Amino acid sequence: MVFSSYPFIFLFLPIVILGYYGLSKTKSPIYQRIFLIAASLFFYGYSNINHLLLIVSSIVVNYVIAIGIKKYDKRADKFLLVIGILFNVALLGYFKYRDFFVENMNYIFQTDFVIKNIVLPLGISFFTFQQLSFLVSVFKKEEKIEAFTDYCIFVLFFPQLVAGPIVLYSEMIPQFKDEKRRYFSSESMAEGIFAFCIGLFKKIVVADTLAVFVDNGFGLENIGMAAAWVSTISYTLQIYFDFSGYSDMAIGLGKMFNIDIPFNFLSPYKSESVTVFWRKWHITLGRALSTYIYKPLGGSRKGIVRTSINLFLTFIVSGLWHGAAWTFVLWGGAYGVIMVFERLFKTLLEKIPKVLRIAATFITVNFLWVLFRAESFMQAVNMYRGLFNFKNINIGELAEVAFDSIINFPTAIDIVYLFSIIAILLFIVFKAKNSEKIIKEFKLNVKTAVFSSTLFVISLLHLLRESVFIYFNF
Amino acid sequence: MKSNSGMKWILAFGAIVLAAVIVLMAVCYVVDPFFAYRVRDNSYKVPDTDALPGIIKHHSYDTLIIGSSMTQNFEMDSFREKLNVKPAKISTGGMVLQDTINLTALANRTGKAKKYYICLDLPRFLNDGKKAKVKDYLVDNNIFNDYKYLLGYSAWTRYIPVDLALLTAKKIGISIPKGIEEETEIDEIGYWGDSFRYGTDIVVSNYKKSQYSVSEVDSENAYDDIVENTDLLMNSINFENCEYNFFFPPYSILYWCNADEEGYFEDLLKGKEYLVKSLKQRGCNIYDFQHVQTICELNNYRDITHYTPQINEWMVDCFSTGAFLCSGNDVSNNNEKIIKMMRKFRKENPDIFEK
Repeated sequence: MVFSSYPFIFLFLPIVILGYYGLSKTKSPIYQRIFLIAASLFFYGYSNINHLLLIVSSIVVNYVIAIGIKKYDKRADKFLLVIGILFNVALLGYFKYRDFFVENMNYIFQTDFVIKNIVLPLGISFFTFQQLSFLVSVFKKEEKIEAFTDYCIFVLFFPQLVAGPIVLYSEMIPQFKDEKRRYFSSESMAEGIFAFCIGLFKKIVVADTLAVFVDNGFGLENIGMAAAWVSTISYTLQIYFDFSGYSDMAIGLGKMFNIDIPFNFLSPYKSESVTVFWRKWHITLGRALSTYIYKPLGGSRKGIVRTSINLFLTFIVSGLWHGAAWTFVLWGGAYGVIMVFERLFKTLLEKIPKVLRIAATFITVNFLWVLFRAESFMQAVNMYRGLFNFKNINIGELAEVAFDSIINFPTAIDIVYLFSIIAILLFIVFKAKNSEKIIKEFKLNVKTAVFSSTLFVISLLHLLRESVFIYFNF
Repeated sequence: MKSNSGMKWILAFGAIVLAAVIVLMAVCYVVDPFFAYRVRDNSYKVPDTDALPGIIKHHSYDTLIIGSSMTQNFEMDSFREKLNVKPAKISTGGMVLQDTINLTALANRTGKAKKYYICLDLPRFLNDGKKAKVKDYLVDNNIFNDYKYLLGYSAWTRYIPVDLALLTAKKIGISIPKGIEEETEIDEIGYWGDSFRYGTDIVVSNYKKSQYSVSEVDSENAYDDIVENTDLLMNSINFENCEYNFFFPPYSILYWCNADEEGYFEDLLKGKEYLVKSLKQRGCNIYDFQHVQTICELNNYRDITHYTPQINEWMVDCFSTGAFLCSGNDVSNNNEKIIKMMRKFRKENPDIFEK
């Protein structure tokens, strides 16, 4: 089930909200939590019931290990932590990396192992990472392990279950335990609806419109320069509006249940360096990578050489986390190199005017998103060639990029349409307030009610268009 | 009080959304770009696929021509003049078997058609995983799912603005370009005859570049697929009280050569015999145009399957005279002719088949 669908918006969500707050009349909050856990399991199992067993098993095993880590000390807790890490890594390794590993084995050693084309369970990278980080925190005595229902709600809470934000146990469970938050709050609900509408519009209207341009553009062989730039910029915008839209919806949904979920994006394309970009893009992943990979490797405490290696390795892990393909490894590695470069030449780079640094960062990020989007190296190479194909600018090809198979418009109209959309969206990402500011400045007035309802109604008209969340692949 | 403000906001939000949704649905109902509630000829741009159920439900006809791109170039005036019928064309490019079944079943329920001319695209009898193009909520009689149309993406973001623009242009006297005017005529739905170049060079070039107009096939189960889908067709249509005329369109010889190379040629011919036998048992007329000499004259094609409108016209002549009607026993003879033509064509044109 996806947030941007009729069954979710008009059936699942109202029923769950009514049920959850209806149960607030009971003395104990346990019934509300159990109801929410059941609803979240239904939400997860709706797409593929076979994976329900997987997530339940993962939760039970991790919980038992966490209990053991808490209970035992000296070497036993470390041993259990290692078991826990191996279990989670093995789970992720099997579902996400097995086929990648086998393909490479077959290629290098000319073997003929079967590629199973394993279906990736929804959100596995997220819920596995979230539980792994929890085990480490319990080991370090930074988190307390409590009731099983608390742990279940931490992992399963449906707004953040399949694509984050990656929340900490200490961020979420105290909120569920806060007695005041059990009860319906019309202000929170209003704010939640407001945030949800913004996210829905960003995803279903903006990102999915850009998806048409991107799919067309990346499908062109020997792409011309104009189409290459339009396609790559469209993808740069698409992935931002898609993922930040999803995060806004998750935040809005959390708010409807009086739970504050952390923001994941803070105008990342306004960043003046790649280093700053990664502090504003998928913030909760960055936080997790920093806490569980970068700092344990030594962080920046062991000299410049070691810091550079740690940064590079952290970004390789980030690349691999995003996908089981060499393009992702290259993507992560490239960022690792750039981050090291920026660290080494920080003082020099800061002398460059800010507007130029922002432009350079945007172009760099735009360039590297090609690796993220391309289905193969060859497709990425084709696109890179196109970006610098001065001999073949081919403005007419833009009509193919804009084509959406519903109505054929004249080429001139297609080109105006394409450029208008991109120009408006570039203005928004560079100049407009981000969702975090807009949501935090939310006021209960006619203007916000009209604004939200307008976004919602326009989104309704786009709901039946076929769409997929990009980050669902992780 | 704060809690009142929150509730007031939520109620205001709900009220605005509800009011907007009602207005939007009403506008879509009135404009009705997909003819779901009424048909308007020469007014709106006729949507290629989405208008078909509406045409069946609301247009005036006694004969339906149903099929894929193989039927899109039929001229309705030719049916009127040569067959003395009141035809309506129910065509869309890439129509899958399920679409043919759904649309024919809808026509059966509507009860207006006394005669059918239905194209039998053999590739559509193979399970290639393609989904039905015609939306189910436009075909069924369930008004509760009409919201998918009334608040639908293509209706609202494409057709309603274009249709309102056309209506306004006509009202204020702006002349509409001929090409756009033709797209508002129901008779012209999906017509592509003048939009492509035909010729041997382009067909051969496409064949060599593997730019086929039919989908790639899983050759192992071709015959079983045809049997399964034939049975599905036979069980889904009401054959009583109507005259059914099925026809096999004249794909070019290169289509058969390709099927032979891919390994499902024999299955196709065997499957065709099963299909003909099943249809004859229900008293259907079957025209087999697949063994005519024309299929070797590649000048008549734009790719290995799509032929010129002149061939559509010729087929109408055959419908009126009964030429190429299959008796049921002669389909295997017809298939033999295809095999012989294919061998001869390969022998006479070795350069086409050089790897």
